Amino acid sequence: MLGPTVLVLLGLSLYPTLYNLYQSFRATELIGPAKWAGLDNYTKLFHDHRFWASAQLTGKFMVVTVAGTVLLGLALAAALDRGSERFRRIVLPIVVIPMAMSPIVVGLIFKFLYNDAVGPINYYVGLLGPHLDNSFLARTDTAIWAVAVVDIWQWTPFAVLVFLAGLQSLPRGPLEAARIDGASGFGTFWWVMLPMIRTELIVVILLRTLDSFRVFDVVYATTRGGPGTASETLSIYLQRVAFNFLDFGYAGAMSIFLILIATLLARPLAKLLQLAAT
Amino acid sequence: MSSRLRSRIAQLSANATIAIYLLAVLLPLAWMALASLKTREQVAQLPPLLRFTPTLDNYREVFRESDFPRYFMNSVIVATSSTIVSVLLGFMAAYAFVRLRRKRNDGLLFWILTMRMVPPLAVLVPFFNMMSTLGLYDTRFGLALVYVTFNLPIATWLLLGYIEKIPKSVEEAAMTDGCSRLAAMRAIVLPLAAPGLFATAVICLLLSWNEFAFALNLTGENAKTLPVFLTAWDTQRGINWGPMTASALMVVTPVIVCAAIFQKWLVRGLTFGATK
Repeated sequence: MLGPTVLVLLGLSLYPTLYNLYQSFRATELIGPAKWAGLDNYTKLFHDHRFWASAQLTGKFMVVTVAGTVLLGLALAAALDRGSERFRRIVLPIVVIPMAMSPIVVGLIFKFLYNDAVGPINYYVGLLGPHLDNSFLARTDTAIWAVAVVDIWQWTPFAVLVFLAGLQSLPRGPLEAARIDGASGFGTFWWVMLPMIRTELIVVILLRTLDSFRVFDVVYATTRGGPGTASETLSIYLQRVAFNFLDFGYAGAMSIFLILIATLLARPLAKLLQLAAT
Repeated sequence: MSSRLRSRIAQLSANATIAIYLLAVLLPLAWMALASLKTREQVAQLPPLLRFTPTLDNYREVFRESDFPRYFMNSVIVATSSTIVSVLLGFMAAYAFVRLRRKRNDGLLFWILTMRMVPPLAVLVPFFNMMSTLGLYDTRFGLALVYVTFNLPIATWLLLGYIEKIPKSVEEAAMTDGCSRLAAMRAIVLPLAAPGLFATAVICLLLSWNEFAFALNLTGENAKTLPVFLTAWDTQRGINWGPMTASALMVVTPVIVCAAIFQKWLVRGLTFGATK
């Protein structure tokens, strides 16, 4: 009975990896047949500034979005945990909305909000003081951070709901004890509750890290990697190499590299999930 | 300051934090909804026009200028067919894992999870090549097939958690009464796992409905799904905000309703069962 699943997964997962591997050793030209290229694509990868720039950008994006999501998630989950059950039942269905939406829709809405002619963000910033000529998404120095804000908006609910579930399942005994001993609200949260929800904390950090690593949709919807290459993440660059430059050999080498990193990142997560599930 | 007053202040500031957050969630959505009901001139007005006669012109334009119903059907068909296949195969695989093996096969599960973690772009060229060779490029069948690859690992993993909770004894009792294993699975395990199957299906539907990277590169005009269609409003000459927001709203409304109803399952599914 495991048969069909293993077969499907084998066919559909082993095949891409092997195909990528095969392509990565070939030089694909736009005209003429592909030639054997040895390790050329891999040496190219190591000397490709654009690739390393996009790797660096993705790294920064991962750090900022994961940190933002986790910190906001913690603060909001703690606040919700204090509220009444009735209050939560009204609020949670609203909180969940952003994470259920397609990142494409979220990206397009924010492109609208950021727009320099019709969007409210530049308008209200302008009222407060500095006049802005361009959308935050259209400036080389701010584009990636403007996208990071969108990503944090979309995924904070995820952190909130996971942390809240963790907080709600805590035994009330130690919390009472801390309060009676005179701990402050924040002290109790930081020293007693946080260590007790560390599994939830690690699950959120790992899952968000992996998803940020492969971020594509929201960047495509807001900036498409632009202006220039200012917000070009690894996935966006790979998309360009493969489907705009049609350099399948080089794309293969890049894909192998990304699959390797994702597998390394997924290892601790798989271990943790296995523990959490048993 | 009395401790009661202090806890009262803490409670109030907690509620204020939540209220501000709810505004941050709802304002962008309200902005989109209002824009979809405005004329082109009204959309461009700042400060925002709050009192206006709503018009459905943008919605009419979506249906007049595009094949919206077809893209909608494409999304529905691809999402449901890949979900049904994934949940069925996933159920069988999860059942086999739980009942037919003495100890948990960690290697296989790790592999299943890793598949979920690989960036879609890193497997797109191989899939593109496969679909072109098999003549499945730009077909709903081809796209649904690819969606099974990311739905099946999740479905298997999630269903595992549900099936593990079904006591073995119920099934064994049926089998000593003369039921075959297959019959016992159908008559006993399947109904008991029904909530799990349903919850898993919701997750698979949501992920397929929102999927973009594969749909963008593996479909042309024929099998185009809604997220890809939405990006088509973003042209070189700018975006026509009215129809864009109108169609975006039609794409997310079903999802938002589902999410609000199935909120608990959603979190469970998206954390791979790490939250109970």
